[in-house]
Amino acid sequence: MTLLAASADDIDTSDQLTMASAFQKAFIANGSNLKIADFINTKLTVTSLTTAPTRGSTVTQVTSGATMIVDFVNTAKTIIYGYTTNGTFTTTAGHTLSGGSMDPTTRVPSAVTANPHWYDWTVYPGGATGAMPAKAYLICVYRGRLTLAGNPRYPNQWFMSKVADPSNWLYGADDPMSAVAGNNADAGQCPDIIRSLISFHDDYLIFGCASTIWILRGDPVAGGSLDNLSDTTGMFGSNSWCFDDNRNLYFWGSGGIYKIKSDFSGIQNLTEMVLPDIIDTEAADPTTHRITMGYDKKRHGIVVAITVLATGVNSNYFYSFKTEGFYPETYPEECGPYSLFYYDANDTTYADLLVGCKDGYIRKYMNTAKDDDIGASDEAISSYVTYPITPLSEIDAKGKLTELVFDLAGGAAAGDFSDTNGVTYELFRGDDAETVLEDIRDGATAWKSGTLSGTGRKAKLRPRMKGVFMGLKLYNSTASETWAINRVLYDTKKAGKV
Amino acid sequence: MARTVEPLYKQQDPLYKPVAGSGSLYEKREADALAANKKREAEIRSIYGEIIGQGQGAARTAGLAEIEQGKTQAVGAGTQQMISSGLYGTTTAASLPVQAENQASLSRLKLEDMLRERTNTAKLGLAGFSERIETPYPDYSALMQAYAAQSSAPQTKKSKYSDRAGAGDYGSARALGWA
Repeated sequence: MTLLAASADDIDTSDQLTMASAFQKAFIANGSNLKIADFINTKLTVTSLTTAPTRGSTVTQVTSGATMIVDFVNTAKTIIYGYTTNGTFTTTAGHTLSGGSMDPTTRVPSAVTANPHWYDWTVYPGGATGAMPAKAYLICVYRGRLTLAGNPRYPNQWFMSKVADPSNWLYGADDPMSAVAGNNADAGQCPDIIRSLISFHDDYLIFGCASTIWILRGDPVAGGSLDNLSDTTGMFGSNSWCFDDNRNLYFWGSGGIYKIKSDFSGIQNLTEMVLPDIIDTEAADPTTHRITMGYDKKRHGIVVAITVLATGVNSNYFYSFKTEGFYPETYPEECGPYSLFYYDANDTTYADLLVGCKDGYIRKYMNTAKDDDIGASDEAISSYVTYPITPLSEIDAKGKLTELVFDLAGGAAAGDFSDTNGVTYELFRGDDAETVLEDIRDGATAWKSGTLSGTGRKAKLRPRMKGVFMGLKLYNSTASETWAINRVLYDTKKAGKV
Repeated sequence: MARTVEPLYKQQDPLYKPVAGSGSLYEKREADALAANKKREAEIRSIYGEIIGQGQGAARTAGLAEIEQGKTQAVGAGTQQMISSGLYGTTTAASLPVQAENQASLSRLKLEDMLRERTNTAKLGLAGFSERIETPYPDYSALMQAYAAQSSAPQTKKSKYSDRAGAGDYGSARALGWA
């Protein structure tokens, strides 16, 4: 990992930052800090030019014979960035530069710098390339256009550069590749505030707005179309979405977690039935919280991370594609996710869902770890599962729990499979299901509890617990321990009227 | 449109047939014919001048009106297309008038080119007309031969009608240089 030295203190880490990669560069939108990390060009430092060489032209150095295709010139016209196509540029006296209508042609580079570079993202000098938005917090690449949005002055406006020219922002030119700006609304209507830009290849671009969703298909200057996907659902923020392997889009919307199928056949609220109060429960506020979502290829699900930006306090969910269920998770505050990114490395040992954390570390999920890393030390993992509240009798009558058998994971002790650590169980009972669940939630004293250890099938328990409903909670909060269970078996018999 | 203008002086007229022994009459009629031709030439030049001078005013007015109408139609159709495609709120829609004006400018240039082409055609017609005008002179040799033939012939009493134009046959107009 390499630090771009020039980038230090050149961005505001207390402000929102988004970035996009294109043309072998990274484009950064950090409010008024619009920057480029350039991994392709050679940098030539010269005394200020009167006229910059034309973008895309070839600049040649006499004697050395070095040539480059000009990509960018800074506003002061003292630096030329270009892709070196031949030879090596030198700083030798008399080795002047020419080409691309640059003026004068007597300049000799005072410095030649190899990539990577870090510099201000501006329009190309010369006065015929328009103007960039003064601020932007959202960015993506769509059809070769760098797309910006989130300008606080024009929060409903999006801006696109000329195709394949991130330094040209001259809107409305009579050219199908021209830069273009616009908003998302029917004719004459007030457009919504843009909160996220979601481009899918060169096929479509989704604008996630505060209370609506729009989709741009094709190019806005060359026969494209902009349509409304939802008039009632908005998106939370710039990172609160992800795609799965089947091109389905998941996002945190104004009513929960949603899924848009790849064919746009509909928007499905995944939490509507199972977590109907998730919005109120989480009470996530775009000004104080960040919601990031990432597709975990290895574990076949979606991670939804809700983090308080200031503290790292987080509340997360893992949505399993296998069970189609949501599993609530909380990480140590140091691990509060600010960003999620699946790093698809060739070496599968490195390929994983990476978590950019509140404390500055990049972490990943490790199946073998028995504690959470919090930097200098580790923190115990506290985990529990509550089984569905179960009637002890088939009719409205009491029943008796006569047998209870636990089958812990790991097979035989030792061996090839990872062995579980111990797990504590708690049994609850009640005349109605909600009371049982409430007792569990409130941490009420269990009717019976115990700790299981070792692997495989445990000895049969005979609780002889009478009641209409029973509740079972399993948990472990011990440091350096994790646990897993294969199944729970039980048997009941009738025990009279309620 | 090109026009074919026949040389006026090629036209045959029996009145121009010379009458033996009447040189002054011959010259008078030649002068008359020349004057008539000059008059016709002037009339034709006047027509050409009128065509060239009128500046294609109506055609220009109609053409410009058509271009303006086309511009309005283009902006309207483009705007409707932008609304249908949902892109009305973009700079693409905002630039439609500019694009239409650019197109109209081209159309105006084409109109001017077409009008100039028409004028040039008239000018070319006039130039061709002028080029085909010939000013032939009388064939004095043939005239002298005619006189000589007349003097060597047996003298008879002149008919009182002998000097009537067209009464004798002393050669064709071609022989006298009116071809």
